[in-house]
Amino acid sequence: MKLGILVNKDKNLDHIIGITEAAAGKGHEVAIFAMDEGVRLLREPGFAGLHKIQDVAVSFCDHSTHVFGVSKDGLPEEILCGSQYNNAVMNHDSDRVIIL
Amino acid sequence: MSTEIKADKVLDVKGLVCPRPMVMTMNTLKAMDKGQVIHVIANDSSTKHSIPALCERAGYKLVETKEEGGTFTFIIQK
Amino acid sequence: MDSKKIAVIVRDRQAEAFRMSVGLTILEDTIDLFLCRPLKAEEEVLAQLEGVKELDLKVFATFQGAGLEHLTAEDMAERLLDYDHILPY
Repeated sequence: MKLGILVNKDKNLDHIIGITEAAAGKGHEVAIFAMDEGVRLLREPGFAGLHKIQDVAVSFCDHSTHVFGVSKDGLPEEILCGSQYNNAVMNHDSDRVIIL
Repeated sequence: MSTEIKADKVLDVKGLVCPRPMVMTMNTLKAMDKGQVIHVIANDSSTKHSIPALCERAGYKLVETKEEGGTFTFIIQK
Repeated sequence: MDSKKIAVIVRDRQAEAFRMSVGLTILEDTIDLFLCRPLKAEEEVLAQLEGVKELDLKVFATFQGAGLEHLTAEDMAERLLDYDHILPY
């Protein structure tokens, strides 16, 4: 199974980490896409480190980083600076999608 | 634009922000015939990665891509 | 992979909900919108709604008078059972 997590707020970091770790721990693939206020979490080490977990992919909406003034400096290159295209891919390819 | 490749269509999406450039590119390509070529001009930085990724997924050939002064150009063959 | 059927429930952050809905069409999935609160008379909201209209996406409203197809909350709940993903925004 593949789980998609759409992160559009910056309030739920603990849940995002917990659910990602639990799903990956059970052998599920996880795709995370951050947009809107959610891109603020890119500056949180706990969020920016999620890509290190096996079968976890992280991408974000570049446009939202401009809107919210979030710096992309120093982000790991494994975190894909993308667009709503990446959200479309996540929704298309995931068996379940949750929003946090 | 490449002088060797003649585009059947030119799509200028400068001034449009994510996701409009990708949606318009995809919808234009859908309406084109196989083998036809489109020249996309954008200035939204999100196109830099997304248009090549979209081409790869859809099986379109990205013939050429260029970035100059904040303007991105893509030549895509359906 | 077959196309997905996705419902976007538009609540507070309407401009971003509309922008996201437009983006979700890129891979030819079916995107329907359910507006649960009156449209905000904000420039960005109306601009993003234009993008939704250009793509002829279905927009339902659970209230009357928005010039959109009206659904009761019960009708909406019943319809939502048909979707692969439901994205409240």
